[in-house]
Amino acid sequence: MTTARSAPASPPVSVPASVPASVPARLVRSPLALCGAVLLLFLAGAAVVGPWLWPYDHVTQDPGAALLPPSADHWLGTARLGEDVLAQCLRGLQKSLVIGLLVAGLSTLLATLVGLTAGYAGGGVDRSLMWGVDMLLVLPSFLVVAVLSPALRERSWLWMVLVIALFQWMLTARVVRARAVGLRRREFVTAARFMGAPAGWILRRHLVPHLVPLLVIDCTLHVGAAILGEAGLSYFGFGIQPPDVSLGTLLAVGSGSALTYPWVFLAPVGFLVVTVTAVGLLGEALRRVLDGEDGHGG
Amino acid sequence: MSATAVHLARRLAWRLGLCLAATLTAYLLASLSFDPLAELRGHQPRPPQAVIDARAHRLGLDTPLPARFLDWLAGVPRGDFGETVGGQRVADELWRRCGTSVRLFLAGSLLAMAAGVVVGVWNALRSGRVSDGVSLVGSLVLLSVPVFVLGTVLKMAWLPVNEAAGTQLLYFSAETTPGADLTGWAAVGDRLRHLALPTLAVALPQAAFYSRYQRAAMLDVLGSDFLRAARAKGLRRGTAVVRHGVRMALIPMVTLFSFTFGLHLTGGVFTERIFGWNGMGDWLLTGIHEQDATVVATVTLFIAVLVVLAGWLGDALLAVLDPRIRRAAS
Repeated sequence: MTTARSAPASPPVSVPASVPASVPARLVRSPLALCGAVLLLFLAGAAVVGPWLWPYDHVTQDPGAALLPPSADHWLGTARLGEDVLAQCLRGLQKSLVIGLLVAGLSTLLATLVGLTAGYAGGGVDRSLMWGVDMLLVLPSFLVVAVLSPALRERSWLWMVLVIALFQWMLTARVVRARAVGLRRREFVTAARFMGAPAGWILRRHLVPHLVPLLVIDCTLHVGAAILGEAGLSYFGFGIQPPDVSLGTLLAVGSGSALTYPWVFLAPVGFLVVTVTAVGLLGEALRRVLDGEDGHGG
Repeated sequence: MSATAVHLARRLAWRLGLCLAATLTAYLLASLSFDPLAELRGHQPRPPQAVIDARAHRLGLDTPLPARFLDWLAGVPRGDFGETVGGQRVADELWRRCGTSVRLFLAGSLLAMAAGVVVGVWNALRSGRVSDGVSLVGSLVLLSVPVFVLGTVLKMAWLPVNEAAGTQLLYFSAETTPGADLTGWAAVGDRLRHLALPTLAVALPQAAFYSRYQRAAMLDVLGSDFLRAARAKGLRRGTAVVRHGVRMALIPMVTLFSFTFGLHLTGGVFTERIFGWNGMGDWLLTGIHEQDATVVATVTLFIAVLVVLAGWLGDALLAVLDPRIRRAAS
């Protein structure tokens, strides 16, 4: 089947063949990258160090101080049972960041493996792998995770990481495959093949380095997507289970009183939006630098 | 039959296969992980075993899973989608709900495509200016707001407007005002006032997403030789960009529209819940809650059919827009 034509449009960027040495330098000069990195570092720092410094933790309840608006004592106010909202958000952010990073790493790895195998092997292997990818794209991933969630409920949240990752790699795999098909025809790959180099070696030494820019960008974007995905699942009760909190569970609890006690809702919204926006800024900066769109490249 | 028609027919067959596979997977997964009898078994006092067995028999749980699926599938062409755990006919509920979903999602998506293309092209033409930066940050923020949050935020933003006006200018839930027996233009107006906010919730993130891609596609085209050739031919920049540039930049977008259709559909699921629209997405969540494999499979089939139709429309549009496809197909 003509899978190449039905490949989803990756952003029509022409990622250069390999990473030029000047990329880190240009990245440092990019205001987008700077904004994103500073925001992310600040948030990650707050998520890791914050709980140690802040006098409240996410489970302590103080029924006498329920649903107080933000004040000097509770910077972001308190929730329904008197929990400190800032402490809850920091804890939730921690969980969301860890989930985002783990899922992004896993799904990028999976996408690379499947995409490279399909693109390099070609023929029947390619067709069946791409058929599987297309099928997973038709099947809404939210549905699968939600259907499986009762079974995951009693298990560790790491299972959820695995399941989200399993449904987030397909689009990247298609892009990797398309690029691998193109690289396969290049002279240096043909030369290596004629010299009798084993396929695994060619993939590692010749194909993967060319895919690095694409994979870095995609991995960055997967972090944001995974954080949003987890939040969505938790929001509908399919993700992180109480008493543990994630930004998604906080949103779920807060949205009910969003119109009456807005801080309970807006605080996790703020953390979530700033985190994912920062990741997005970093991804866009990377894309522009690698694409030479920042005015320095060719 | 022309080569294009053969090509399109072959693509349709391939996509229908995908549809079937996706539905089968959803059915199997749901049947294996759900336990629709748990609720009955949990009753206090526990009902006699005969009652539980009778329910299991009615749901077909005593027949092997593949046979159950084939039985369900055989009914689908006749418009028989089986029964819910509660014993209602799935088909009745299906037709009522799918109209709701399609109205909401179609309005939102069309708006998003149009807005995304316009904003993307405009940003590409003005790349590097302040407006470009502002829309970049704006679209990143929009894409960072989960769809289910966006709905609530829109409500929060609109509430003061309603209060200032002293009346419900726009409604926060349901498709029509319950009990109000409106006809003609009043009914249309009522529908629109219910539709506005959820449509925005569906459209905004999609538009932000499309505008990023459209900008990149347009930038690619702006640097291309054929646009320079068109300019050299004496066309003014505006004419060249609109007549030659935008058309070329739309080609990758068509594939993107049709491919991300399914992904954005999931956003519609959330929007329905937030705005109290009893559509397919709302039904899916109910189905999962009630451990109802038949409902889950039906919703999956509905989504798969929409995704397949969108993909196929994309193929057809591409064949119209891009002569290279027609040549490759023949």
